[in-house]
Amino acid sequence: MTLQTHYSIPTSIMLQVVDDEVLLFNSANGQFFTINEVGAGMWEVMQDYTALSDVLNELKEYFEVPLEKLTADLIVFGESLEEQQLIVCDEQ
Amino acid sequence: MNNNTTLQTQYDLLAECCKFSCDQQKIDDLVSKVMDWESLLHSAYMHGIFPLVYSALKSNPHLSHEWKEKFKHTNFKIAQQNLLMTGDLLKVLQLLQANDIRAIALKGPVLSQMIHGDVTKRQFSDLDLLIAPSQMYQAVKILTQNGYAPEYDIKFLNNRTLLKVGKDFPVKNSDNDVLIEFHWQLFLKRYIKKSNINLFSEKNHHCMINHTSVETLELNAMLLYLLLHGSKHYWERIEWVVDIDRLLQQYKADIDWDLLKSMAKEMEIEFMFYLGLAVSKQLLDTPLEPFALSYIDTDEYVQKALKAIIHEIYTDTIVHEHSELVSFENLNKIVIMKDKTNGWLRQYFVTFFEIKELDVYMVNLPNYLSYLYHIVRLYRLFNLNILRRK
Repeated sequence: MTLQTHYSIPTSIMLQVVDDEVLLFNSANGQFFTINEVGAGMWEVMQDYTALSDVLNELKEYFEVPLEKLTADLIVFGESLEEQQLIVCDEQ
Repeated sequence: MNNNTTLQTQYDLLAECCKFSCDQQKIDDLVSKVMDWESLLHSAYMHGIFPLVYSALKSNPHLSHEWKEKFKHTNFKIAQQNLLMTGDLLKVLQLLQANDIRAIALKGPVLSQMIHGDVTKRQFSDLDLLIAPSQMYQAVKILTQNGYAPEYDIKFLNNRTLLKVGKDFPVKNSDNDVLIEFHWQLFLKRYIKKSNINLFSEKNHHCMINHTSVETLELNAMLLYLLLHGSKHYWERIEWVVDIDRLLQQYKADIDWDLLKSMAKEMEIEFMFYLGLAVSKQLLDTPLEPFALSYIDTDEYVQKALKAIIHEIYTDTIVHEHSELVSFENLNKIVIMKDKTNGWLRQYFVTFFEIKELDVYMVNLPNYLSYLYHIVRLYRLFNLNILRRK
């Protein structure tokens, strides 16, 4: 996965905040995933875009971390989402 | 502290936690008097108000860490189950829509989203969908082709007696056991003699769930339906009272009281209509219109039934007995007494001779033999009451 990766979020994915936990539920396979606060922030932004590069542009306004680290974290997060079938990627 | 006082505290607290604007000071006072947290947790769950009670109590300093964790765990499980069911709802609606079948979601996730802004704040154990009778067979057939199993043979949906005496058909997701009830009517004739609610109105309400627009009843029709549904079940769950209170408080501007008043009168359901409003006012301080207050204050039967319902709630009858076995003797007497001339007679007639959907599900008789269901009814009653007792 790279910053040029395009993705889409299947309509079967639901996000729900329960107490201090953020749940992602995939109704297509009945699987639940818990993500942390940073992941929840990334997911929120990802819902508004379709390319990781755009997500990064938005995120760097909010997270006060070096760009290299933010890029690496975003790619790792994206890869884990893809692995769990929470996003569908389209290499361009 | 005797048992009555303990229960009084418990239910005062549960009711306060469910109010539209809860009084934090009152909650603190009541929390400090709670003797049995196990009982409170159980009652909140049984009354379908656990998520609201949890939200109101989770930060309370009087609640021990141990109980906070237990409450949190139960709340998380409810949230997971609700998400699972909401996912099923959206999936089924999409399937039906793709096949040009109009489905109207009732209660469940859509009501939770409407009144709490969150599908996890209201407990529900199944999904209810209203479908036009002419599309019922097709709707169930589509689901059976997509991983759902009907609880009865789908051929029963061609049985005219069932369509007349029943109102819904249960279908279960074979993978996750989510139960969906397909309704072709909302009220049985024995409760509502004539219904003039347009259930498939163009004015129906739409609610957004996970970026999907879900159709539900028009607000006044919904309120009427919920009032009748709750009264039919003697308001045995506080959750149903909360539904009324929140709808009235959050959708104040959309409620047409003149229309509701006249519909209740035309449908001859004023007792059930005003009883629901009375319970909401008594338990959750719901503000009501002067005409409703006046009716409630002056109607002897509404007053008697209200007193009996509040008594049943505060004596924990519902929680300790299975809902089907709850006697509600006092309430039954009031309802029967209300039908002054032939209440008891009618009650016996209905019990022995009126065909129920479970009678039909025993055997799928061809339509020309439908009169034999009266014999099936008597056999079932004999079997249930005489043979099983032996």
